[in-house]
Amino acid sequence: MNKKPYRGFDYYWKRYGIFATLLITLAVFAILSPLSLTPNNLLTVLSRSAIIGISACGMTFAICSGGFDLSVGAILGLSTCVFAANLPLFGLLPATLLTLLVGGLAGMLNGLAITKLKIQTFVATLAMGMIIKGVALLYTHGSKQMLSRTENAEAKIFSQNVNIGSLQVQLAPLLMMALVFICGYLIYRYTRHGVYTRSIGSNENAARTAGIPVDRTIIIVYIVTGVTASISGLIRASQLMQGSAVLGDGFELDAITATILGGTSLAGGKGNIWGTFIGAILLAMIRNGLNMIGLSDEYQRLTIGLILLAVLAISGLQELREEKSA
Amino acid sequence: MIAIEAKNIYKSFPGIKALDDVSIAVEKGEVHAIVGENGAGKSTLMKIFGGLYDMDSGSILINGTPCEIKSISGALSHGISVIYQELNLMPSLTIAENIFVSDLPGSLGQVNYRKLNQQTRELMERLSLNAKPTDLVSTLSVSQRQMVEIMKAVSHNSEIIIMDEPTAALNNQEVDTLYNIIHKLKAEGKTILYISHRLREIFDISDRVTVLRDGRYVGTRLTSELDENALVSMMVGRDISQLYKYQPTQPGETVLEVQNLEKEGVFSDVSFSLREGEIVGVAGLMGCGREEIVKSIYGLTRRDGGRVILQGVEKDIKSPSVAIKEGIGFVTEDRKDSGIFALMTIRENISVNILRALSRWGLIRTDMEDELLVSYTSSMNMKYADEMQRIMFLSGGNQQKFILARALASGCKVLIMLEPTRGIDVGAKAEIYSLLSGLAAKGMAILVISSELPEIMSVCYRSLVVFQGQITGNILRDEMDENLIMRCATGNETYFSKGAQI
Amino acid sequence: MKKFFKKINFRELGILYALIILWVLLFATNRTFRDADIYISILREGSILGICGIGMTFCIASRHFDQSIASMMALLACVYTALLTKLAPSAGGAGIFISFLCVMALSVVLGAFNGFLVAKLRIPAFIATLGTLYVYRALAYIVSGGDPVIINQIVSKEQYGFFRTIGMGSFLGLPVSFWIMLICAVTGTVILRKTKLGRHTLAIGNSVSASRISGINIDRTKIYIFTLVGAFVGVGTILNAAFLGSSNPGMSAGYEFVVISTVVLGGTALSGGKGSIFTSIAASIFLVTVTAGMNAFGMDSFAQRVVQGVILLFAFSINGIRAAMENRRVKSEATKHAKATKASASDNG
Repeated sequence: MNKKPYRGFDYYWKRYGIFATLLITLAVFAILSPLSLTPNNLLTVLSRSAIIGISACGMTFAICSGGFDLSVGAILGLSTCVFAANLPLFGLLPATLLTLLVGGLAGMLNGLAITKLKIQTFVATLAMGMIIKGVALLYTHGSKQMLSRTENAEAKIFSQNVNIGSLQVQLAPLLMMALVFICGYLIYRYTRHGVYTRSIGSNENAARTAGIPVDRTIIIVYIVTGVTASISGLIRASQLMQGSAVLGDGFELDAITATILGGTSLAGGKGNIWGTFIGAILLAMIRNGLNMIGLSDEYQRLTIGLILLAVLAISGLQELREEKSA
Repeated sequence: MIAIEAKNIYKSFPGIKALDDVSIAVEKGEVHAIVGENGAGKSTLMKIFGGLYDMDSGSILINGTPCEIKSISGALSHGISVIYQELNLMPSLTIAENIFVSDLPGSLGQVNYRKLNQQTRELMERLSLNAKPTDLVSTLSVSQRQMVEIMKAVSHNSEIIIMDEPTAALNNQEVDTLYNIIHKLKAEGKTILYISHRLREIFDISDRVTVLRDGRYVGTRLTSELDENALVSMMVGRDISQLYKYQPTQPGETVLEVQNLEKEGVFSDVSFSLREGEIVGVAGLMGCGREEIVKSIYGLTRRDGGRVILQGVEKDIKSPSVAIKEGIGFVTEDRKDSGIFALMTIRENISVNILRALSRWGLIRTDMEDELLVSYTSSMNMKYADEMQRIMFLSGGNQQKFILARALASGCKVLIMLEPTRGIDVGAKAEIYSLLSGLAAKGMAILVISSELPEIMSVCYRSLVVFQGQITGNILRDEMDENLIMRCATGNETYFSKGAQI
Repeated sequence: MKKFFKKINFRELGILYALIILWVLLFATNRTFRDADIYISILREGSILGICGIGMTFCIASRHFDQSIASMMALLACVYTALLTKLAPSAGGAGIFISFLCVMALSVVLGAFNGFLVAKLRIPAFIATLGTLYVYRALAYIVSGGDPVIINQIVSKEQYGFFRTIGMGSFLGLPVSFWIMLICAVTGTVILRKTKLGRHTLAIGNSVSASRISGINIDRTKIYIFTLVGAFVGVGTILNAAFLGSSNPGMSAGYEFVVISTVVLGGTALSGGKGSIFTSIAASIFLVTVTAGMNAFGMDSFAQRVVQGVILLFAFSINGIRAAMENRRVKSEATKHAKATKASASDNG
């Protein structure tokens, strides 16, 4: 019964599409703006990709479990606020822990809304995102929480520049991203939680029938998504030396696009952590490249939105072909 | 010693009383068969044992102590594991992960894959499944998946193993393997509840048998004291042959002819024809490809080749809407998911195929809809409260009649019916049979795809048998016999009745 | 008349009762609500929201979802004012009319594009419209150059009077937008209840596979549904622009939450299969009343956001809760029945 796999465009796209896109993007920007290929700029791109990548890593688990998280932008925004407001009061470590705790808590509320109130994931996280952003606005009274470069210099730790020879690089975000992805991969590949997540995404009913703690697993998945979003929040707050509820606006688009670009299927059951990693770098590169050729944030969003639709269309058309041959 | 006992179990679903005061006691170390017709409540009872359903009232005793089975993991911890009828596997996981997902080896949340695959390999050798533990389930065939399901249940080392129609997708050889497994388990002192509607298996394997009928307990007997006739009469009670009598019809002109239908890996070289006034059955095991064949005729799925000829003219039926236009009606096997429009009214359910004909200036004429409803409901004896009633609140038999009426309303000449009486009670079953034979008498050509051999044998003029996507039998009514059909369905024989048109 | 009342399912009018109770409570507790003006202005805003909710009712009833409508409104409004800037001074009334037609045409195109993504490219609706949410919003910025436009500054005095009539005027004591909403609602209801498209919408929401077997052209129906969403959003945009007297590319952000809330509060479950335009509109008036109430009590706008989110969450969980209650009811009846059977059995024995 085992058929020889059909090796058309779909097959190669699934395997190598992301790399090809990466190279093409690199080439296009190299032509448009020669500066973009300098080592310094490439390192900047890498460290910029950390913010997207870390959240996207959590998002990969959410999508792999058959769900979705539209609240990561709001959680990122709230995290910057919590961090910036509490750092001057309690110091670096307590503020950091508090931020992560808030992120985890927000994620847990998502998980509870999904499992206990039985709301579809994307609407549950949509509504939670609205609530979380509202809370962030309430918490800061709608204003920016500025950190002083002299008094709160320790906040810089998450985006510290390090000189390596002639190169200057924000090492902390890179290390954090590496850590998150290595942990993510190990969890995905080698732990019970990873298997549970995949099995729920693959067939939730079967997972229930097999006696898997489905609700608990889903709640953990969203706690992780929340925590990763708040790690991204820490880095952003540290880079900008401020906290504001609006800092996460539209961020979910980047996180989701990176994940989908990386080859994680919206149908659930299959995640691709390293694909997400590359997807995040690709997105950062696109944003950086568009920046260098002088396009504003609007055009960047337009591009990313179109990229998201294009990638989805490719997998959608593939599904359509399978449907037709089925 | 009693391993598991159920006392006075009640369970109902909207519109149906699934279990009505059922009590059974199963002894330790026996193979206890539970039989009954479709809708007798067997599967519901097993799902209650397995923790999938809550019962409305009643009690369950395991080894003499009352216990509550609240969830699937609860059932497992009480030593009960269940092989369900629906394949409950996770396609994007490996075989090993599927089998041991609720009991993964390893400590501190980490999974020991070497041990996992080793365990799986041992189990697979024991159950002789030819695959690698690391194969993805999505690459397996239906019968291989069924074996994985069985391994899953065996892997828990439960004291009580419930098998709900475990052979539905298996060929003879695999059934023998399953028998061996059951013997081994029995020798280890495990208790097995075995559900099947294939009587042969019951006599092959079981020590005692309990019969359920229409959600009620009929009786428990030693299998050795029973013969097939005695068991059948316990099962049917109200004998269907008293409620429904076959009306012989003389087939007329050929209406539908299919030639060399094929689809890679699913079916090939399928040719048959269907005449006016003829009811033709299609028998076969689960996964043999017969649903795919008829779905491709109706335009629901694609096929790679072959011709469909309606009344002498070749047609290219690309989609169901073309099929409806060309006069083919289709009634699905899965009433709940692809039959009814649950939240819509019965009126809307009956007219949905032919809204264009009922509209004037783009607006649907309610009066014509009502006429349609009244004409079908009175001629088919359908019961409902009023025309605004939502179809989900009707009984299964009535829902089935509405779906049939919907197919008929579009004026079809050929009717394809999958599992025409799945999940409906005996009375409604007989009514559906009468409706079918009435339609045939009026010249309708009918194709009945059914997993119930008695059903095919009681309504069909002749029957086709499909094995691995090919027609292995074409048997006229006089020669129909359960054994012959099963032999064809498992590929052990090909049989074409003399003088029968194929 | 009797037949008419028979058709109404009073159990499904929960939102209407909630609206009446809310009005009574507010009337009793807050002075603002003892003045007819507030109700007029609630109707005015509620009507715009209600019109946008009509298309969304179709969308959700078919088990889809459109997140892009707020961005669509911003883009349409920006295109509208850009056209007015060009055409109104030179072409006068005809210019206004042409701008109106262009916006309506564009709204249909934008909606159909969503439908195309969902139906022909097989992208799940929520994420396809998430993509267009950003695309349309970005286009709004690009079209407008990021600047707001005040209608008063680009049209003549008489022409502006026309916009004021549509946006703020009244007819027979009720806002003009209310009458337009009424026309839209009747049209929507007729489409939903009396046409093939409406039936097919509900059928798809109930079961895609059953719809396919019934010969329904699912792709085409989906495209029509999203086109309807676009068309009603187009009407809403025109009224909204007249009401606000301006456009800016960042406008209406988060409006999709509100529209989706009204549809869900109106009893159209996200699981699809049924829908009612009348209750969606009642729910939009309800939501506007809630906002007016919060304003009247001086609640800060950030807290209002939180409240709105909680209402949304509640609306989404209401179906789960209702199903659970239904389940329990069936069960308790069954238990009662079982006991009764047992009792009668022992009587006989």
